[in-house]
Amino acid sequence: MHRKLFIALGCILIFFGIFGIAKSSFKPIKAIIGQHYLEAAWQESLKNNKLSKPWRSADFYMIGELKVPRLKISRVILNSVSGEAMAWGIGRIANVGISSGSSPIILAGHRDSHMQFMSELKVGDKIELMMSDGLVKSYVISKTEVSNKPEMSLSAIFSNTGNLILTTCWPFDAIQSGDQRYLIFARSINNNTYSNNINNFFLFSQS
Amino acid sequence: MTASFIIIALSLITFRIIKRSEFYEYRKIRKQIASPFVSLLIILKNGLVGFTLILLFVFAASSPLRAEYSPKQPSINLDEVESGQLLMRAGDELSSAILLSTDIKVSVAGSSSRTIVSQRFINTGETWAEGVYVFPIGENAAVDTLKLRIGDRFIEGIIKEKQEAKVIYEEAKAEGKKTSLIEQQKPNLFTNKIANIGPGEVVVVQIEFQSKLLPKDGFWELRVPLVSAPRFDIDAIEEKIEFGNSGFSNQSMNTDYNENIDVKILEEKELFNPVEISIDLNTGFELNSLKSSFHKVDIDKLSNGHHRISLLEPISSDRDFVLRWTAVDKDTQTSLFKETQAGQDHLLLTLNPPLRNKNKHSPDREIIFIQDISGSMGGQPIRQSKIGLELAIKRLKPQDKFNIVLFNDRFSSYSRNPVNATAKERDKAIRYVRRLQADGGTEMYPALKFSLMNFRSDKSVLKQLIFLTDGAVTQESRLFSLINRELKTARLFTIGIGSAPNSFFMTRAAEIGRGSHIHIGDMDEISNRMSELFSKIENPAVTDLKLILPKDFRAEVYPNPLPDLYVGDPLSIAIRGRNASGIAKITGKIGNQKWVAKIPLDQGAKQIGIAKLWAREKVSNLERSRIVLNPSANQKAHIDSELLQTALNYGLVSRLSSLVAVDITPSRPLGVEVGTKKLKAAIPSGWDTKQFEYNYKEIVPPRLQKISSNNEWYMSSDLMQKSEMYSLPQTALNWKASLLLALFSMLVGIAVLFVFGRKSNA
Repeated sequence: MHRKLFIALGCILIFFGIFGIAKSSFKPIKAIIGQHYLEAAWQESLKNNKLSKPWRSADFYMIGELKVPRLKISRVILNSVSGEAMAWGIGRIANVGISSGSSPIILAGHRDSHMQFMSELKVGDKIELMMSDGLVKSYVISKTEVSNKPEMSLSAIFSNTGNLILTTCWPFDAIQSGDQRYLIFARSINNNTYSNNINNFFLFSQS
Repeated sequence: MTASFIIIALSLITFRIIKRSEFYEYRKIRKQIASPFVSLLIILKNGLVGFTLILLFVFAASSPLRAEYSPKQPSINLDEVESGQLLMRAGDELSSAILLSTDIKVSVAGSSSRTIVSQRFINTGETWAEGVYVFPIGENAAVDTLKLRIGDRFIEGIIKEKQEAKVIYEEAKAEGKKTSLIEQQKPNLFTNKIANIGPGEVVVVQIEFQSKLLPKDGFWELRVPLVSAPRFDIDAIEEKIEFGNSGFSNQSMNTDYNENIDVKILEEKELFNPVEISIDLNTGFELNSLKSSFHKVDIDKLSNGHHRISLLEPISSDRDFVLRWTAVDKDTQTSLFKETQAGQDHLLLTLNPPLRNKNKHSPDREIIFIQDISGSMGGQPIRQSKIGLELAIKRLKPQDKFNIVLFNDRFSSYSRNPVNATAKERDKAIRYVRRLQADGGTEMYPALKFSLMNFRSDKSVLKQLIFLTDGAVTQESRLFSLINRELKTARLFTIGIGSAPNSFFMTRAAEIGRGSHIHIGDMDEISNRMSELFSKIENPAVTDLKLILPKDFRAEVYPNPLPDLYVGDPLSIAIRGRNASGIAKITGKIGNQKWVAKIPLDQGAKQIGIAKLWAREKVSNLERSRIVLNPSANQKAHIDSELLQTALNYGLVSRLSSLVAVDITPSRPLGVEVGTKKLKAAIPSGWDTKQFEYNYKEIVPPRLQKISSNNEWYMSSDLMQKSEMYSLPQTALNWKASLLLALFSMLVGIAVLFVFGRKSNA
């Protein structure tokens, strides 16, 4: 009598298991396949020199590409950090600065898909970034930081410099979403792109 | 080629299936969790989709992908300036020239205020510079005066047609003369450019504007937008290059910045951009409360209705200055002010409806909610607006009719025609709302068109459209003319979410739709602000307002037509005509009852500035009709010429007119010998002497300090107070935990089957 009940229970558990596996592996599969799609579409859009959506019903644009030569990683950057956009790729946080050209570029992505590689980055690593203007800019990681709040403050003058900041959730192996964020700061090492004036801002130390 | 095309098409379709299937899974599982059959189906479907995807992916990865392109490029522009900002440029580089100090004087009289902003600019750099000062002010402000002091000379700006003014400015700039130009960039955004500020030179610029003050929910509010300018300054690195015989330099460029470099840092005490504010508040009625929201102030009470307010100490400009006050008599207030200019009487009539609605019986309504469910609404915005919608549905009465229209790149509606909000229908609608998912692009025209034509009730019923979106708007004029054409007796209320760029469209759309607009910047406030709006529009104080002037008084009246009155919202009417006298009537409806207010036009209190406000009102009205009516080129030219004429007559800065000032005297006049004493020019009469004085004490030269630098360039230190906050999004899919849980569950299941299955064999 009890045996039948347990067998039924076992069946249900297996069903749930299979369903759960299918369901939870869905997101990473979407993330991986999405990147390949975005990559192809991004190359196409570079060729056409036009800002474009990856597919018609998308509510975001592709605006650039991030590369980490050491880890052989490349990610297409989207112009939105909505949940929808970040399921497919990494997004640029809209800056409220004065002009787009000189504001820092802040990129966010999921810690357990597109931005997982952030856990392997260390100070001194080189990052390459190509935005829609087609210029490749190089950055060197100068600092990493864990923030306890889901926000970050940049001084107004600093905001006007062309630097790169990567952010994702912290810790990397957490089970639930929390308020902590992992931040990687990288400074531009491309002298041709930015004037001396702007590079000077890197010199500030915490006094 | 064809094969790859098919693959692309198939994969795009599959993508849609994935996105949708995720959503359907949720629904089905929640309902039929007990049925293993359904789970099996879903697993099969999931597996199938997954398998197809992987197959497609393998194919697609080796073939080029066709993507669609949109010509519209998102860019950051002047729209995003929310407080005053000073940008300096010398050639293409950022210059170190900065704003020195700001002195703001506001005098409030009745329902208008006059603001005088005096700014001292200094160029601390080595090169000649041009300063661009961007300042956002309220849309109903009339900028009309520009004064300059350069060295010993004083210049007053004159109003000119925009292009003409620009030419004058550019020519003077090229000739090396000092010149200044105020232009309107957007209805609420102005720029002031000052050219040819020499190294170490100080220029004093004074801008004046008139604005309307109206109480909102019983509060009067005066807001002074303040500038934000850098408080410290850095020297550029100098490179000394020596060339060898070959003509090439053998030195490498100093790109390694680990040496000691001079950096100027200002101490907290040494405010480099101090702001002083003084306000002369003459309300004409007794005040109940008077408070500065963010700054410490000194209040000098002259009489019950007359106060002088000044800052206790100069402040650094990192926050808008906000002054709020309330009247003792909180209920209905009507005011009438008058100014006679060029033989014409200008009147400003203000009606304040009561703060509480005495009309208990709220009218029947037909309401259509237009909700954006595009992908960008994903996360907090959709969650919050779902709560907001739910609250709105709960508030409906059974007699009311409603419908919900959803749109992304397609649109759908809750039902074909609006339905009565019975308890059953409300529950059903709430369930419908709860299921919403954000997904897809943004295409608002068809949804708006459907909604505008969806009303079914007769004239007596109040028809309201609530339009919520966060999307950037394209084809503005097409949407405007649609609203204008199809609105009829309905009212359109717009809710804009997120960044500012669409707020111009949303505001105008609400004006054309004879409703109101709210903009919600803070994602966590969406549901609260929505429910505020809903409770307000539930019961309009007065509808169908009309102004009837005495027969022998011909006048121009703005706004036209008059909007509805809501609890807490004031209405102001600007009137111009010869010999204002007699009794004007304002008629309207409270509920189903008629309402009349009689206004003796000859009793207006005299006040300076009313004429400018009338002109400003006319200008914005013309701008509106230019957009709404979608006029022919001929009509457009006619509207433009009328607008320009009004702006020139009243000396206002507008889309078509700018203020320009040029220092006619060359900086170093020919024939003047060195050492000749210059005569100090007298300050023109009517100019406030004190505000044009140079106060050298304020010029605190930045202190030089050695800083040894290293790689730690990120500052969270308090080196500078002013900083920008960026909120960082939630970035975790959390798939690993659920995968582990699922694996675990399957293992336990297998273990159970294994244990009990074996027993039967034994």
